[in-house]
Amino acid sequence: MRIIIVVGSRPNFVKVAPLLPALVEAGHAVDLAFTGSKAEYRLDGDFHSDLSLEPPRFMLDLDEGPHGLRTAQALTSLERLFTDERPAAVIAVGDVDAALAAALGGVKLAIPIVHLEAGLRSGDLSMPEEVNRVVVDQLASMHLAPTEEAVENLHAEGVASERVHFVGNIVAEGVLRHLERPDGVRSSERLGLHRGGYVLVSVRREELVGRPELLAEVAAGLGRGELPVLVLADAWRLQPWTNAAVKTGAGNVRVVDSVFYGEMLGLERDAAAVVTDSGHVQEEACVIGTPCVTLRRTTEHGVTLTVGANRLCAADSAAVRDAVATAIASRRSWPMPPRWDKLVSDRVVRALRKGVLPLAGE
Amino acid sequence: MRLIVVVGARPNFIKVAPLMPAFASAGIAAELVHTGQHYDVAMSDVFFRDLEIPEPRWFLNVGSGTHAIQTGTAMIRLEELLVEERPDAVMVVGDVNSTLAGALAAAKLHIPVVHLEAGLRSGDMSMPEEVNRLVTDQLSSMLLTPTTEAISNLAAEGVPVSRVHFVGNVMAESVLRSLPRIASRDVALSYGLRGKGYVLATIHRPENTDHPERLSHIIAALADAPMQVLLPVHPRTRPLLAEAGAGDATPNLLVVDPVGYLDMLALQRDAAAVVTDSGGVQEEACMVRTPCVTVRRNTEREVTIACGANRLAAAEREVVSLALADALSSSTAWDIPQRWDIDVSSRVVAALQAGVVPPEGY
Repeated sequence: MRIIIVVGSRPNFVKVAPLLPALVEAGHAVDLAFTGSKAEYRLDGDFHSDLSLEPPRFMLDLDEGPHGLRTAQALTSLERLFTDERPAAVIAVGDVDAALAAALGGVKLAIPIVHLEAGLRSGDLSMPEEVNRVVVDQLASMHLAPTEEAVENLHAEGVASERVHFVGNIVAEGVLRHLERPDGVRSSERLGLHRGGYVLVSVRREELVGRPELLAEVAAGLGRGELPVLVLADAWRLQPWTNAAVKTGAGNVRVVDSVFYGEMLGLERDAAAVVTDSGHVQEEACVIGTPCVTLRRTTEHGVTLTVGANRLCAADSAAVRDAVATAIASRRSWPMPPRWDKLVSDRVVRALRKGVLPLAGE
Repeated sequence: MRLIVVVGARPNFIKVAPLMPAFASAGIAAELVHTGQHYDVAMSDVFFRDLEIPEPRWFLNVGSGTHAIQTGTAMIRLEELLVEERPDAVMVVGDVNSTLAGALAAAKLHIPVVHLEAGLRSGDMSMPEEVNRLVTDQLSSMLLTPTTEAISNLAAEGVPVSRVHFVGNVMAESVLRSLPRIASRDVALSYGLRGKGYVLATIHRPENTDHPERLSHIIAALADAPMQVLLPVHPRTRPLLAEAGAGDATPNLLVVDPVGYLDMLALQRDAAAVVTDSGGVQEEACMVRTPCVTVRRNTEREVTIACGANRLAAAEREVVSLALADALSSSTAWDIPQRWDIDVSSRVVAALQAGVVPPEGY
């Protein structure tokens, strides 16, 4: 089957990396289409070699901009691409704007959409990702669900059960395969840190990092802990973080530029606790066995809370301090959610082997 | 409350016509934005005049194009406008690409979306309108439904009932308010036709006009009709009809230019039967008690079939002929669906005044 996988962001590449070789081995002709800019791709060069991914065949090279603009541009470019290439199916990944654009563009050309990571819900429609999730799931022909909860969410939204495949979490497969590689996970020693001797922070959502007063609360909460704190930030966010740390006198907070996948996994594994607002870090920490604190009101990865790997926390200094202390003191072992294993890509291949059911009415 | 109402195509104009005066007298500051999705100066002006719709405050000049280009362009321009204006809510209407674009742009800016004509479903994902309906309903904070079936459809897709308001069909209100104005208007006469002595046909969906085989079947069936057939068509469609066999060999087919809203309503009222593939005409024919044949595989206006006003016919000569014969001999004493009356705009006002509950997280 001729498949185009649409990727729109770094976390998308992480999800595609374990899947791509499995699809190729199963005889599918798979191409990647990247909706981001070429500059962004080059900047992430080492990141992709870390994942052993070839450059995408289709580079749409779209500009940055507000959500509506980005989605609209991706929609028009993808429609053109799908019209020229006529793939048998399009895989939309996760909850980025590109996934929404791929689904809308594909469905109106009667190309079936396969949604990888279907059915996740935070219940918070003020997150643009939540909007993307519900829309893509209404349009998809095949839903690849990472958790049992996701299967239930889809059922509650009227998605026919024969379209839903509980394949498990592809992020987990990525982590587990990387951990096996001799060069896969780099140690935290390069940064002068010791195993279990620091708190790792990866916070990048606009509603937090874009608001200095909230960032100051978080920095103050982190600064009151006993362990040193390593903050990973995108280059253009280093300054706001440093400002927040200095302003609140959080001397134990160190801010460094973001790191690539293998090193990130090493830092997550060796940390006493991870503090994040990103979706995939919650999942990675759960798989790798490091307690997580999520600085959000809701999460679409509810299963990480249920198993005891993760806890939600408001951007308030006392709450952050307490949540981090609780996380550090918590047990580092929990039951892994079902099908968060190395067989996820196999299950995807099996689901595709039976063919993608066309949408109703075609 | 400050409301921006998005319209883009003819069926939208008909639906907002009764609402604008109702908003004005209720003190709701509602302004129209016309995306220009379907723009034909002559026809658009006639519609606005016929329906006494206030001049739109903004005209976005989106124009025609593929689905993605049209939706994408409308999204980008609506996003700019909404960022600038920040209304309390955005009302989108029906199921055209502008409906989808308005819902997406507003939802991503956390502006609550009100969908007028929510919950209609044909179950046919190969119709672009069905895609627009599904997505718009998932993004809407307030869903105004025309039928009780629409409520069940939304419930089956997991839409919380608290967001759904059964206001009835505003198209019906338009018809009921317009009929007294055309009580003595005899449009048929100007084409040399007598009341109840002709069949009115409108065929405009690409699935019919762009498939020569289907179109010639439809033309052949109309040529077999036991009376004159009046066929108002867009100039663009004329050559297609000629290729499909409409011409000297079909003397009972009267192919004419498109007509305005009130003339069209008079023509429907005075016809012996209507043959159509449009959504709005199915409803209008039901209101003016003229039996209808819908040349499609399915309809999102199921209620018109259930009450006995409408029947489906596949685009095959025999099937359409039989359906037309059935329509011409059928009783016109059907029950008008519930809440297809002149109080729809009052119910919409009441729903809005009770407050639009923003989605979780706004």
